[in-house]
Amino acid sequence: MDYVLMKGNEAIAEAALRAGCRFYAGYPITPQSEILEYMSVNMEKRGGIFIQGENEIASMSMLYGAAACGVRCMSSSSGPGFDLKQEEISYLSAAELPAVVVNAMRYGLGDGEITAGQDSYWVSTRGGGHGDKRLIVLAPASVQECADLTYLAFDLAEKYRNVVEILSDGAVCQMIEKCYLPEAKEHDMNKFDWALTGKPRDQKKNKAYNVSYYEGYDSYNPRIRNKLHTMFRDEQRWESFMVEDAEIVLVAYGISSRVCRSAVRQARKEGLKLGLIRPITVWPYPRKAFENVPDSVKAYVSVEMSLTSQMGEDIILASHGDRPLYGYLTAKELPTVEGIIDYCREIQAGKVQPMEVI
Amino acid sequence: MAKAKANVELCKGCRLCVENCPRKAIIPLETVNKKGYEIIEINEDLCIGCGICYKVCPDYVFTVE
Amino acid sequence: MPVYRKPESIINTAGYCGGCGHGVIQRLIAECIEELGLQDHVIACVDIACAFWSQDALNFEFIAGPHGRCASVATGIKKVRPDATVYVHAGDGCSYVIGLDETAYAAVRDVPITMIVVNNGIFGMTGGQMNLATTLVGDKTLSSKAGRNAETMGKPVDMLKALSAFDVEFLARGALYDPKHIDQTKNFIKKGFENQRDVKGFSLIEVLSPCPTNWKLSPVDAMAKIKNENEKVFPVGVYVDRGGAK
Repeated sequence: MDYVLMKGNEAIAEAALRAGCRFYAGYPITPQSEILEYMSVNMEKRGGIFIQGENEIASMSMLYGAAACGVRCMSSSSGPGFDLKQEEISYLSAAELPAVVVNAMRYGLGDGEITAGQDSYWVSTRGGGHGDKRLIVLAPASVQECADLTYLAFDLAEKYRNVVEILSDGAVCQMIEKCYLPEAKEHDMNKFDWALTGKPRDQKKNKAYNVSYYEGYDSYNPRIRNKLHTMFRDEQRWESFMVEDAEIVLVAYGISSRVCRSAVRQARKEGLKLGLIRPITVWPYPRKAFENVPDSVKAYVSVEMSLTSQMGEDIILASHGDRPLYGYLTAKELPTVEGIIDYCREIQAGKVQPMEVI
Repeated sequence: MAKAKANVELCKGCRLCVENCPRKAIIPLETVNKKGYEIIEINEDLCIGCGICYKVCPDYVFTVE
Repeated sequence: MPVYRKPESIINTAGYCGGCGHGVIQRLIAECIEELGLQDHVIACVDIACAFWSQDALNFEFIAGPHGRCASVATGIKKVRPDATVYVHAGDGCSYVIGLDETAYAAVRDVPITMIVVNNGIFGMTGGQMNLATTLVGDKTLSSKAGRNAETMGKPVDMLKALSAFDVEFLARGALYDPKHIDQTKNFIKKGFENQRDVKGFSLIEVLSPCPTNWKLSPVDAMAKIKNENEKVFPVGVYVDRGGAK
């Protein structure tokens, strides 16, 4: 199989098309506009629909309509644009409609910066919208993973009738790497028994709205509770890198995890045994990755591009607080290999305190 | 001749039919249906089957045939 | 003599307050769809305000909400199921206030859907607050208790005049206050569905409709108010009929 050189954003868009995505609606925002641009060029060639929406809410409402019809559909945004998508994410969740939404993180509050960041972890894993719902959130750390996880996202969305999010960031979206693209497949929008097809008068009609309204809460509540727990149990994905004999384990996803991997290699050359747990799903958080961490590990370090640690709570929950948790939090700046190693040496020397997760 | 028939259980007592009937053939009653709304009755002798009650009724009380 | 019997697509009672125009409008929609033979391939979009109840009454496939986004939801559906008859039944709050953006851009895109907008001059589902687009100056609502003040709250807007600047297929306003106007409204709605059937473009039919509960008037007096007051601000008639000549 031949590889191609692609941007992360392009890999996401192309993988979506190859997964059978035939509806895209979105609104431009840096650093993910190439997804929209790629779709504007390529969607119609695959027989799909591309719409540049007048805003995020309208784009997502179009997606809500298309998803209800059984089409594989996607939207994408970043930061403030992703905030605006929350209303329809809640509606999609209420109606149990499969959809894929990309959130290419930028850094900062409000308009923030257009540069890479990782401070949309909370909005993605805890949800910005109202109601008890969960999104499966996949966090690619390479262009290859942009393609692979997007391809997977459509299957997961369909399997659970749930919204799946690709939580990328400005660095992973913009980097150019080699990528093996998945095989193109077609999706049959008429295969579902729940989709709106415009059925004739003698057939039972489907309704796209809060499933609870038609099902009744007595049935809906336990079923959804079970669905969320099943997703949590079965869809944890992670990579453990040199954890077996590590003294300190770094925990990082996305762009930070790439730097951490280099830091682990470099530190070991210098005699410092670091390891890395890299969540690939940040919801469900890979708690299983923390189950058999060896006794040699004396501390965890969350490496994040956020102001306070957004992932720290999840590490504490996953590890049951069994080891001190430190935070190497670089906010707007990318972490560096040297910085991470120096920080870990300071931990060993007792010069820095474990972080208080707030 | 076609005549209007009323399913008064559907009636919500709005009186739009009473107001619009060109022959004053619909009589408002103080009797209530199971939902508690004051219903109407049709004076078949006056009804000309014009369909206006059907058109103005928001609750599908009337059939004219 | 003609026979009058409710359309077979109506399978449940109208879930509205007594004298509410929504029940008539949903019947007109069903009549038009059946008379045009379209009833076997319909997807309807309702807002999560009062029009929501239509999905329990009519034997069509439905999608509801988010509030205000009906035109966008319908756009998404029509794009992926172009052969289906896709219509919107929503209020003036949805279509002209919180969702004006979505309505306007469905018109800009000239999506061949049929949009029926209920102008009752008030927020009905939430209990009777002012509608920025359609509450008349002086009308008392729960959020304009002394009457709408044009200086502080602005004036109502004729959205059909505004939308007339867009290149759309059909814009018309009907009213429900007497049988003649109900017939005219039905003709407008039917035209909207014919335009969709013939893939001519975006059609929006606004209907002046009473909300006796929140207007705090009897249904009969509410109809008189439409005739004497609302229609003066929102004249009935055809605003745009492109005649398919795009």
